[in-house]
This record gives sequence, structure tokens and C-alpha cells, in this order.
Amino acid sequence: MDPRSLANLVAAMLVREREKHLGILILAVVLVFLAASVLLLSGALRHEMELALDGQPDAVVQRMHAGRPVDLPVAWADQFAALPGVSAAQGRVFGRYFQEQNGVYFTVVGIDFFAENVGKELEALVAGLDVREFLDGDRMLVGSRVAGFLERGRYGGVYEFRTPEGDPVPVTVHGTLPEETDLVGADLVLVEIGLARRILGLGPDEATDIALSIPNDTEADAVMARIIGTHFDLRVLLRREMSAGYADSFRLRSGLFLLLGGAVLAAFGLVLFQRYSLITGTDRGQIGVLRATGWSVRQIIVLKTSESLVVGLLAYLIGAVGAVVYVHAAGAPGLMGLFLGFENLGAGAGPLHWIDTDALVLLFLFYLLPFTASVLVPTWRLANLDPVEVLR
Amino acid sequence: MIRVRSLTVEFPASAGQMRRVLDQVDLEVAPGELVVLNGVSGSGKTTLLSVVGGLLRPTSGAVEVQGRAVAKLTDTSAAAYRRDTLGFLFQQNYLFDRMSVLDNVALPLVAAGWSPGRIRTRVTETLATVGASAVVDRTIAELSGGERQRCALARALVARPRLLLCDEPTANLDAAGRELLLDLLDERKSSGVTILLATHDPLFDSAPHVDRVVRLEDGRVVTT
Repeated sequence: MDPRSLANLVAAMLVREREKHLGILILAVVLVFLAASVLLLSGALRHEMELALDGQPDAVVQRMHAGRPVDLPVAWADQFAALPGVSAAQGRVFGRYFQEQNGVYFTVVGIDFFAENVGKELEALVAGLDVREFLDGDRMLVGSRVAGFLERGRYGGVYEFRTPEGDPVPVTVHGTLPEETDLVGADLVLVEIGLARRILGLGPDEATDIALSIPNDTEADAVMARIIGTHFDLRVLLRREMSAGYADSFRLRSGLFLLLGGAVLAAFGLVLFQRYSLITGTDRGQIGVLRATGWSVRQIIVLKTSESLVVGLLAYLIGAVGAVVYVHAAGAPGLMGLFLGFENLGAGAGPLHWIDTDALVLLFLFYLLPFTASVLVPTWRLANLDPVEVLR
Repeated sequence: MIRVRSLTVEFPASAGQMRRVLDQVDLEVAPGELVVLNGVSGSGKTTLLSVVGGLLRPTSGAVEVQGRAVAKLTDTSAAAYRRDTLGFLFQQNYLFDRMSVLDNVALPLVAAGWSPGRIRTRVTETLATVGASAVVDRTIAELSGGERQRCALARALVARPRLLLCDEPTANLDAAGRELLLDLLDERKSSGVTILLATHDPLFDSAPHVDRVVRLEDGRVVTT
């Protein structure tokens, strides 16, 4: 067959019988959009979480009293740094700050600008910051959600924290963290470490936990045993355990997506069944006429498959592009909340820039091939009957 | 041109029984002949045309057209036979209502691998010969019964076949349409086309260009 003539005929069939194809097109667009949104969002968030984990220290030491973490002497950091296998140890100061009037939490994190930070996450957040200017008075860098909150509350660039004793600590907003950091930093308040101690009520020699750098991963278990040996009330969280924690959290939320994915899959199954049934009904006469006017079985299969391919491809393009816009430009309103419920200032994240192209390719294969092939079997079956039998 | 030998066709009836629609039919049609198949409804006229046209496999017997055993053709050969050798004018027309006349008439040519330009030229020419050139871009649904019949005839003639099979061709035509059809059949016959035509229409009993009338009764040839 001449491909141009075939294309003309396929176009004529699609346009002239658009009502027949429109329903299936809309349904397929919705299914592709939902499936692509779920896959793109989960892929992008997994990517973001992997990046966040990359910035974590190799191990974290916490002091536990009655099963809850408490502050610990920062001097222990030097003690741990001297242990074989540990290249650096640093006391970290952070904590949740409850903003009573509005019932929201900030995460206040102290930065020690005069020490090498263990873990790359903080360094990445303050990269490019003019430290001299930042340390000139009580200043803070805030995440986008905190910035939005302060703006809505008309605080005028200065927010007055309260120490546990009730003393006011006015802090000037120095800047806002870039939106790319929203997944880990939307509710963050970054301040100088001494200021963080004042706001959170820690003594000058206290830290929230101690971060360790353990260059050789195989030594991590031995380091953990030595640290636990020094003080009975210490807990050591290794990087792989934090990774497992992230993964557990992700898997938990992935379960929701799995449910959604299952629903989409079931709907897709119904679409395939509907297509299979449809072709035995309305398309039956068409196939009979084609056979009677000199079309071979192979040519009819090519024609019906082309028709199905155009509908499927169009639905895929509309659905996939819509999903990319929804997830990566609009921030997946609605779906994102399923993932980011842990944030202190509520669900939300900035635009996710990493597009999971593998997921789109996977969806292309697992959607378009069955969709297109769904007409193959009934077409082949009908086309192999005597034309008179099909026409009858 | 056509040689039918001991042709029998049976269809499944109720309770596992078989109903014999054609019973040991023998028929020969010479090249360029116009043969009318006559008989009441259910006598087997349409079934005989369908077997000759390669649209239905017989239960037993043989059909040869231009020396080819029609029932033994492979799918590709049978398609080529239906496309290139014969044109079939169905009683129900079997046109795609939502598509244009051009797209309907062009179907055999698309299957034959023609380019869009050649297709349009040939379809326009053929529609002119059946007096339907004005409707080329209209949809079938917009046409009258007579216009549809002309389009169906155009589709049967568009590949310029050597054999034309017509099933009740005048069923949907007015008097003018019937006259035009007779003229067309006469013209085709004059150019060497063999025509096998099944009809109730007494018009063909006395038509001067009809070579023979074959009468079927209960699936058997009773008079030739």
C-alpha cells in the first residue's frame, strides 16, 4: 500500500468517525495523565530524597533519656573524633520551634561557620552566602514556606522568636533559600549556631546531636560499638539506617501510589476490554467491506492498527505532556500532599526539575503497545472469516 | 471465464442441522457474457455470487474464474482476485456512511497501492461514468438511495475489473437510474467485461443485451 493513501484513509476514518474515537481518546488521556503523574512524581521525589540523603553525615550520635533524644555535651564530639575510623565529628544544633499563634512549626538549624560541617546538605544550603554580612547581627535564612508565612503575617522582615524562658529574640530575615531546596528546606530557619542555642534553649556547651564522618563504611559498625561503649545512653544512627528510614517512608507513601496505580491499571484493563468488544461490534461490517473490496488480512490489520496507534499516540502525548506540566511546572497540587505530610508547615515543595524519562518510556511501552495491540486479535479473527460471514 | 462444477454450499441451521443453500450447481459463463441469475428469495442467487466472488468458501465442488480455483486461493491471492479481477455490487451497497464518496470508491485502489493523486483521478473518472461526479466529496449519509447505488457501482468498477458480479443492482434505483445502469452494463459488456447478475427485476428478462437467464430453485439450476 502507498503510505500516503493509507494515511489519508486512516485520517478520514478517524475524522469522519470522531465520535466513536473521542470517548476512548478522552478516557485514554485521563489514564495516561494519571499514570504519568504518579510515575513522574514518585520518580522525582525519589530522586530528591536520594539527593537529600547524599547530604547526610555518615553517622549521627544521639543521647536518649527514657527513649527520647535529649541534648548532649558538645565536647563529646572531640572524644568521638579521636576514635579509630572517625575522621571528623561535629556537634549539631537544631530543633522544632512552635509558632503558637498560628500553630505551625519551624525547623531551626544552627550553622557553625567556623568549623567544617560534617555532611554536605548544610554547606549546599549556605553556599554563596556572605558570612561576614550574615553574622552582622541576628540574621536568618528561611525556607520558602517560612518566607511565605512571614510575608502573610506582615512581620516586615524581622521575626521575634521567644526563648524557653520567654525572652524575645528578634531575628532579621537575611534571605530565602532557593526553591530547589524546598523538599528538604521549605520549613527551615538557618541561623548562626549560638543564636540557635539561644532560641532552642540549649546551653553554650550543648548540642542536639553529633554528626560523624566515617570515610570507610566497613568500619561503621565498629565505630558504633565503640561509641555505645563510652556512654550507656547513646544511640548511633548509621547512614544506611537513615537510608532505610527514608526508603521506609517512601515505600509507605508509595503504597498510596500503588493503590492509585492499581486503579489506573484496572481502568486501563477495562479500556482494552471495551476496545476488544467494540471491534467485534461496529467495526465488524467495516472489516467485511474491506475484505470484499480486495483488502488482504495483513492490509486490514495494518489499517486498524494504524488507526489505533494514532488514537493511542495522541492520547499518550496529551496525557504525558499534561502530566509533565502538572508535576514539574505546577508542583502536582493534590498529589504532592500525599508525599509531603511530614513538613512542619504543611505539604508542598517547589518545582521538581528532575524528569523521570525512564518512567515515561516505560509507560509508553506498557500503555501504547497493549492499547495498539488490543485491536489486533479481534481484527485478525474477523479478517480471517469469510467476508460474507462478517458482513452477515 | 467462469466454470462452476458440482457446487454445494451448506449453512449451519438449528439443532446442529445443516441447511443446503446450493445443491450440485453447474454453470459456465463465457468471457464477455451477461448472465442473469433469476429465482425467488432464498433460491441461492446471492450465495452463488458470493462463492464466485471469493467471499464464501463452498462446502464442496469447484469454482474456477479465468482458470483459477477460487476456493483454493491464499489470502493474498484471494484479495488480489477480489481487487483486480472482479467488481462486486452488493444489494445492501455496504458503503461507509460517515466517509466521503471519494474514500469509499477508492477502497480497492488503496489496497492496490495507488498514490493519492492517481486515486483521485481514477475515482473522478469512474464517478463521471456512473453520473455521480457531483457528489465526490460528500459523505454517503448525505446521498439519496439512488446516489448511493451509483457510488457502490463506481466502487465495483473503479479498478476496471474483467468480471462484474451484481446482486439486485436495481433494487434502490428509480426508473432513470435503472436505464443508466442498463446502459452502463451494456457498455461494460461491449468492452469485454463478463457480468453475472442476480435479480428479481423482470426488466432483465427482456433486456436485449442479456445473453442468458439462469433460473435457480431451492439451490438447483432448473433452466439455462
